[in-house]
Amino acid sequence: MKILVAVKRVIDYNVQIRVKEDNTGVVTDNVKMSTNPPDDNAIEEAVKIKEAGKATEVVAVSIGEEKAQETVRKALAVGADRGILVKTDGIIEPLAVSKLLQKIVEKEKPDLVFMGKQAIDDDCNQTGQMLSALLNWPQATFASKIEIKDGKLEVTREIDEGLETIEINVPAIVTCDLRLNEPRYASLPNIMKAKKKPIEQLNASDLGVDITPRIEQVKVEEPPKRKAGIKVSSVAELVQKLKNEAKVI
Amino acid sequence: MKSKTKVVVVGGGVVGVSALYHLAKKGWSDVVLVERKELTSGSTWHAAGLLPLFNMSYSVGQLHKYAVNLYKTLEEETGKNVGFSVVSNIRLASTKDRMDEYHQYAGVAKTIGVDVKFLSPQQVKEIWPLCHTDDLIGAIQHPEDGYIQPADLTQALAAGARNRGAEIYRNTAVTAIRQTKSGWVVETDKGSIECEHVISCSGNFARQTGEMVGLDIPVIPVEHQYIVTEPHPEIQKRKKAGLPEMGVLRDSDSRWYMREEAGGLILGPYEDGAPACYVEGPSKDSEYELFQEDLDRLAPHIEGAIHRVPAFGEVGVKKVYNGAICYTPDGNPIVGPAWGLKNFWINEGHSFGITAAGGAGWQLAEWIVDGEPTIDMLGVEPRRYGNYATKSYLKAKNEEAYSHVFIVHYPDEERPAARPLRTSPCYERMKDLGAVFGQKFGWERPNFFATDGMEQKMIGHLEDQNGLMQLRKSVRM
Repeated sequence: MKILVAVKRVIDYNVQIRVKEDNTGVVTDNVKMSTNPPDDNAIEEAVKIKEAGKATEVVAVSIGEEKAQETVRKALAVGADRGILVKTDGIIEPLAVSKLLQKIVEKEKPDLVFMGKQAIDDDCNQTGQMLSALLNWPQATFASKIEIKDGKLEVTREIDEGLETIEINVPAIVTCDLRLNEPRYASLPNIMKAKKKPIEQLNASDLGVDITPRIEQVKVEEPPKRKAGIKVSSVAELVQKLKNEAKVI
Repeated sequence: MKSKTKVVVVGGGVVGVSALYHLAKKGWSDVVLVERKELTSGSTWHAAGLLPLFNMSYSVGQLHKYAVNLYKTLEEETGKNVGFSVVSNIRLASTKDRMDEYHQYAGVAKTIGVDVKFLSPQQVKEIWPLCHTDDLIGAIQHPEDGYIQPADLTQALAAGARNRGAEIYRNTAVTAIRQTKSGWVVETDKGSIECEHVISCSGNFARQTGEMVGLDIPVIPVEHQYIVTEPHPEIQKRKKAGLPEMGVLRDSDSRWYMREEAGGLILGPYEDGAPACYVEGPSKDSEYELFQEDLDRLAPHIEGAIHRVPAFGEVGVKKVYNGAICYTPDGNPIVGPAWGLKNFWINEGHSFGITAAGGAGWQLAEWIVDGEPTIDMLGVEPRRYGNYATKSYLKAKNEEAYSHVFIVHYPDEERPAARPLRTSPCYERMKDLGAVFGQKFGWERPNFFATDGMEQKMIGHLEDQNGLMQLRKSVRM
């Protein structure tokens, strides 16, 4: 069994996001980037399946600028066997990502495609679902447990009502939840060794996919700033304010 | 917010808060500090918290010594734990030159009253069983130092200052600083404050603060990275058995520091090629900022660390911090009165800010309140730089100062970056006559003339006969 894992390079989750002064986007220059956190869970799961002897190869793929190579390297450092980078410039929307992944899937012929349930930068939560539709493969989203049983997948999903367990046929798409596993940290010798693992570089244009954005971004703005609070001197004043100003009681 | 006070401290990192603390401790309770964001949010928060007493400069050595002693008393004074782990610090030597450097330093330490011990490789092994010691000559140990939690230290100093009447205004950005007939006016986005003295402690914003009063402050930060690993079973076993922490380890020849952190290890290398950052100043919204890590740059030092402490390579990397540290061309801070501006004080360019903050605040308070410092501050004198220290000069020199943190510091050391900068009309002729130059205030000046077949460059090494000859010649000049 071969597993393809899609990983995305995003602004690190610890970074305080700043909006560009001309409201065309957020500041990314000189900002610390890292792997989209649920994509780390996707890689971890694939590597665990391989370590358990149920998969033969784990291929990490990223789509984005040249530097997205670092994200692929990180996946290689924790156990992926080889990498693919599809180079693109500028904003790339989930539909274009799914179409590019479709081409990669047609080329690589994996049995499973794993990815994070959504990216923490645009929060779209669309790529896995769109790829499933394009390939006409079954999908299991928000996975918090994956078991391989007789060539089928039993997946536990995190849904609003609780947990849902479904069985799907392979080949399939699985989008991973943060609860799926505890991603490992790569040791320095493994980080160094990852540099020697192969990364195939492709250009989006070579794959014959139109990646022109279809959504026009009008403006990016910061959320409104919270105003400073005030101190009240008595319970009576608090009640009065809650009643008359906040109008919550 | 006060509209009138005696002193306004600009900047709420550990350096600024310490200055405020010491003014209040000296009896000047009518003093304030303004910080554009939160305390520590510039460079203090991501500092590894090491307190190295080791320093070749008498001035800086004394500032460090004072700070280490002060930090031990802060909890009792303020009730706030500063997380000071007095675990000692061992510097390893694998070459004879390095050991000579340590012996030379031991003279400085003795003069200023800092306790040092020399250790054999066997003694190092006893303290640091995870350290490979076969290829070592020896080590120098500071029993009194260790590391501290920088944010807790800052909060304790802030509490000590507030308890004595000083005030701290957070989320208050300085927009302009004006000189008046009687003193200064500091304009902020929350109103203006009239004062007698201003102390610039703005760290990564040093140049921007300087520009407000027409000073070109020779500070540009450099990126520094350190690696934090997940827990290692051997270290956890030691903890469980109640054994002491192994302490801070520095492999000077491989150019890194290492210490325990939550059962794992921290490694901080001082590599070549670390770039200057914030050259045009940080963004006005910058807060708790880190840069992209670049482990490739650290590769030789990581290999050196795995050779020295194999356990370091056996566990995963939890996090890599890459943040700005302020630098000056010689790596020492700039502490003292600004040139040409009465009652404007500079406390900037701290590359060992956590360690130097205590001493720098102490001496500035002495200077401002009593009119003079109580130790020799020549090594950190603001006027040691001039208008030759342009932005491109600083960039080259500060990157050099960073990469030279762990080089062997020979007597009469001359550093090569950004030279020659200023040459006199007879420079070429002197060069033809065998001059070997040093740099003074940007000028190339012959240290000695290489004659009788001597090599026409600085050698440095004292063991080398030619090196000694050079030193003798330059002393005679």
